[in-house]
Amino acid sequence: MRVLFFIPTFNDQEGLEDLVKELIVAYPSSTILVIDDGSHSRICLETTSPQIILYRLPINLGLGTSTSIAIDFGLDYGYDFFVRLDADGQHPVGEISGLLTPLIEKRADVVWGERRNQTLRGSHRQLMGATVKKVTALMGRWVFGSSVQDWFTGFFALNKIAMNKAGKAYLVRYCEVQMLSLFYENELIIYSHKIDQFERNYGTSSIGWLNGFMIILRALLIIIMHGIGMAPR
Amino acid sequence: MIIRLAFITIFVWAILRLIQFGRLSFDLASLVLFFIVGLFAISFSPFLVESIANIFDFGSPGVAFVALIVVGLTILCLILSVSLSDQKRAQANLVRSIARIELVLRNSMPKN
Repeated sequence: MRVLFFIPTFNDQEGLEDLVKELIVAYPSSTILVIDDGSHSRICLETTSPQIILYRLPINLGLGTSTSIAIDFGLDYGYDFFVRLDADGQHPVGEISGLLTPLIEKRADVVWGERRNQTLRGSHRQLMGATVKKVTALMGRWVFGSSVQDWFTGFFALNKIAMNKAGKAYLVRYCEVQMLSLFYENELIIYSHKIDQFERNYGTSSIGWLNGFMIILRALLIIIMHGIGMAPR
Repeated sequence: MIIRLAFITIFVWAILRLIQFGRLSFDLASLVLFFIVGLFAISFSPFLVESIANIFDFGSPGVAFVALIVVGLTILCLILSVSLSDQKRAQANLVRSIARIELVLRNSMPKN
């Protein structure tokens, strides 16, 4: 079983080292591909291991391009499973087995790590984030009959079939909604795995009111386009 | 009403086709659709329509000139949006291809 861990990072230097060390200990035969999406100062890793591949993009192009590069790598080198997790250390490494088990047992093509500890209270960023998630989940339920509540998670696992589907698409800057819509459109088997996400220790959420509004508009359009079979090829 | 509906349908259909053929990004398209659908919704409110008409002095003979400018700017925005989407897509695809080659080369080199 060959697993490729993909960690996209943009100015997330602080938590990355610990995350990579934890992954090396937990999955000693895996490969960890870290893509620095044009961070302001170059991302460095002190940990040296043949398992780690650190690749830097010359400019910030967004998650879509980084994810496409990682999926290309996974397909080129024949990895069986692809796991994406964020560099800020919010995704528990202990939950990765929960993502991989349905794929290994061939019960699913995609396992989506849904965050269940989301709250409607707190700062305006949290409130906006929760609103964006709720509206997108409602649209997903309406168009695809999806039960997924968290379409924006950066914690998911794919098998080769799903990697192939995602690898053929041109992924947008924030690609999670597009990827899940693509999987639903292609009738892949999608499992949801509920996780308790850790508190953010580094940096802040990028979702503000205007940004959040734009994310809602884009997410709705993406879901509708996939739902009516007019998504770009 | 029928003309308005026909206009909005054709416009939305054109935008959706541009997205489908990969000529317009989801970001720009969602904004354009939001504004055009918003304007369509506003057109059903006589109060709002009158207020906007007063702001732009649409009661004067210059209305045709203003309308032409609005139509021209809308078309120009759409053309620029398509052009920008094309450039962004081409840039992303180029970086993706280079990354693919670099990662293959890096992995095929003997490690010390």
